[in-house]
Amino acid sequence: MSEIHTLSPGQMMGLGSLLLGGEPPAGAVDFTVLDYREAAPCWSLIHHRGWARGGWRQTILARGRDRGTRRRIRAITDRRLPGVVLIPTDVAGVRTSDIIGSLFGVRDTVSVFCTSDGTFLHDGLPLSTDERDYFSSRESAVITVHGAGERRFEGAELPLRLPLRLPSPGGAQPVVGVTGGAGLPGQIWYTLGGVREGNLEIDVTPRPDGDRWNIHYRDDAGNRQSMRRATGPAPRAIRRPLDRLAVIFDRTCPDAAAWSAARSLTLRGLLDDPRAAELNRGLRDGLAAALSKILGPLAIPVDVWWVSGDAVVAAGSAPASETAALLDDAGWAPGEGIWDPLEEGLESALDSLDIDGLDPHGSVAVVIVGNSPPRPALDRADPLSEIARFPGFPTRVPHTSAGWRIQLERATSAGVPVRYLFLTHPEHPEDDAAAHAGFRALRETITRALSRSLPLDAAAATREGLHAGLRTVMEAFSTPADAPEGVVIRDEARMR
Amino acid sequence: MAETNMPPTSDIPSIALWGASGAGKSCWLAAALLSDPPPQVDLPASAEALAGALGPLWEAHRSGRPVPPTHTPAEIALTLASGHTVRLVDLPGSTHLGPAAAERLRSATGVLLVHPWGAPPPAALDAAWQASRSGHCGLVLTGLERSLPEESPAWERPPGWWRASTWGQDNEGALARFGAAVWPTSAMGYDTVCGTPALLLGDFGQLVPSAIRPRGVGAPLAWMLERLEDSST
Repeated sequence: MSEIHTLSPGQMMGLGSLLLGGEPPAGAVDFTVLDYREAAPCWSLIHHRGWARGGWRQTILARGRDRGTRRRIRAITDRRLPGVVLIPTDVAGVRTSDIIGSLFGVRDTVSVFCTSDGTFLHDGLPLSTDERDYFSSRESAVITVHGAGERRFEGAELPLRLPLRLPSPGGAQPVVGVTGGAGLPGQIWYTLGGVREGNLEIDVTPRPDGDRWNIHYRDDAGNRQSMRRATGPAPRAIRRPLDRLAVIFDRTCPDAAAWSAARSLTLRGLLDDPRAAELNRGLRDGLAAALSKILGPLAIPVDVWWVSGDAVVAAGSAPASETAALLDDAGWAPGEGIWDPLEEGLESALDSLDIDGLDPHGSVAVVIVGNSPPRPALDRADPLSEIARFPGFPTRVPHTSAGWRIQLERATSAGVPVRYLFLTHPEHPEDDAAAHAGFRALRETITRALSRSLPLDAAAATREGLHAGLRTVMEAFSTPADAPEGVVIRDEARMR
Repeated sequence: MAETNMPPTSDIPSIALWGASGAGKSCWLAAALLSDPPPQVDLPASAEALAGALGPLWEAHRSGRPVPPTHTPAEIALTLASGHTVRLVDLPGSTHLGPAAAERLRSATGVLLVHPWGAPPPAALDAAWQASRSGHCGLVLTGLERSLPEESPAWERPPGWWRASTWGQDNEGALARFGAAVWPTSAMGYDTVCGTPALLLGDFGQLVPSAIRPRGVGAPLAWMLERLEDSST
C-alpha cells in the first residue's frame, strides 16, 4: 500500500472536523475516505476512538477497482457512512468527485482537493492538517489484564505490548484475560502456548458494526505463538470426572525383571527371538489390571495406542476393565534407536478424542506409559535434542519432528491433560552393573528433557509399580493441578 | 569374520592387523576393502575372497547389526592389479599381545596396528610396535567421527595432525614413532544432512551404525600396499 494513502493524525482530524461541522467528536465516529491521489483509488475507514493513539485510527480496506474491491466497498457503503473523496487538483473537478461518491453510495460525500505539495483544499480554502488546530478528542481508556495477578492500565493507548511469562510447564494451562473499559470490547480470555517468555500484543480492530479485540502472543522475534479462546479462570477448581482416557503404550520398554534379557537380545541383534514379545508381559498385564482396578468401577472407555520404532498402531477402545485384549499383541519390540514416534501417537490419540470439539475444560486425558522420548525437532534448541548428545558427542537422529511441541500445545489449548508415566528399571543382581548405570544415566537425561514439556510421574516397570503409578496419574488428572493458571506479567511491562 | 583355508605361505607378502579388543579392527578392514578399496586391489579377482571373508560382517555393520568379535586369525588372499598376491591376516583382538600374535607380527611384511582414538594406548600396543619394527608399520586410529567434526582439517592428515587434540598431545610419543603413517579413520562417517556421526543412540545407550559413510578408511591399506609393491620390484 502506498505511503500516500496513510493519513496522518492531523489529516484524519481535519477530515473528521469537516464532516462533523467543526464539532469535536463525541464517542465513536466512523467515516470513509476514497483516496484518488494515485491512479488506483484506495478506500479507508477512519475511526475516532478513545483508545487509539491520537484518538484516530485508519483501516485501509481496499485498493483498485476489481470486483472484490467493489464488493468490499459495497459492504461498507451499505452502512451509509459519511465519506470524503480526496482528489488531486491536477486531474479532477468537483462534479467528478461527487459522481464517484454517489456511485459508491457514500452518504454526505465531501470533496477535498489535494495539491501537489500535500495541501488539502475544501471549497477553495485550505484545510488544516495540523493536529494542534483541533480539539484533543482522546478519551481515557482503561484496560485490565488478568494473569497470575491483575494489572490495570489507565489512559491506555493501543496497541499495548506486555511482556509475559507463562507458568512452569507441567500441566497448568497458561491463561490470560483482557478487560476493556468504556468504549472497548468486553472481557476476553485466551489459553497461551509456545515460548515461556513472550509478549502479549493487545489491540482493537475498529469496525462500524462493533470493535473487536485483536490480541496476539508473540516471541521476541515477533513470531506468533499458540493462542486459543478460553472461558476464563472460573473452572479453575472444577474438573468434571474423567469420562475418557487415551493410553499410549511404549512397546520398547521391557519389564524391570527382563532388563538384562532385553539388553542381551538387543546387543546380539536377536530381535526376532520368540522370547522377545514376553519381555514386557508384566507391564501389559499390570497396565490392564491397573486400568481395570482404578477406572473399571467408573466404566470409563479407554483408547489404547502402541508405539514402537516407526509404528503407531491403534489397538482399539474398550471399557477400562477389558483392556487386556487390546494389549495382547503389544509385546516387547525395540525400535532401531531410542526415539519413538510418541508425537504421532499423541496426535492420533488427540484426534480420536476429538479434543478440538471439546469445551476448554473437557473431561478426557492422555497418559503415555513407557520410557522412550518422542522424536525431537530439527531445532537444536529443542530440549529433546539433549538426549542425542548423551554419549558426549552428537548422534544421528533419523527422523525429526516438531510434532511433540505442537501436539502438547494442542492438548493444552483444549484443556486436555497429558502425563507421562515414566517407567524405571531398578537394578537386579543379574544385571551388568556398569551397563545398568549407563542406562539409568540415559534415562535421567530423557526424563530431564521430557519434564520440560509435560508432567512426568515415575514408577517402577513392574506390575506393582504400574498400579501405583497409574493411581498417581489419575489423581493428578482429577485435581486442579492442571487447571488454568494465570500468566505472569513481567515487571518490565509498559505501554508502547 | 570368516576364516579361509589358505595356508600361510612365507613367500607371499603379508599384512598383519592387530589391535586391542573392541578397537574396531574388523569393521575398519571391511570398510576399507568394501567401501573405499585401495586402487592397487584387483577387485574382480579378489571379489570372492572379500565376499567370503568380509561380506557378512560388512552387511551387519552397514545395517546396524552387532558385529561379532574376531576369535581366530582370519586370512584373506588379496589379488593386486599388478598380479601379485598379498595375504591379509586379521589377528584376534586382545588386551595383551600373546607370543603367537607377536610372532605373526614379526614375520609379517607389513603391520597395521589399530587403536580407537581417545582411548589410552595399552602396553600391548607398544609391544606390538616393538614386534613390528622390522617391517613397514602404521597406526590406524578408529572412531574419529566421535571427536573430529566432518570438516576438520585433520582429515587431510597434515604432518602431526593429532597434535591439535589433547589426546594426541598426551600420546605424542606413542603416535609420533609411526611418523606419517598415522591415519584418522571412521568406519561410520557422518550423516549426510546434519553432519553428526552416523551413529544412532540405542535404547540401552549402545551406539548403532546408521546410514554410514566411512571416511578415510582406505588410505592405510593403500599406503601399505604401495610399500609392499615397491619392496617387490
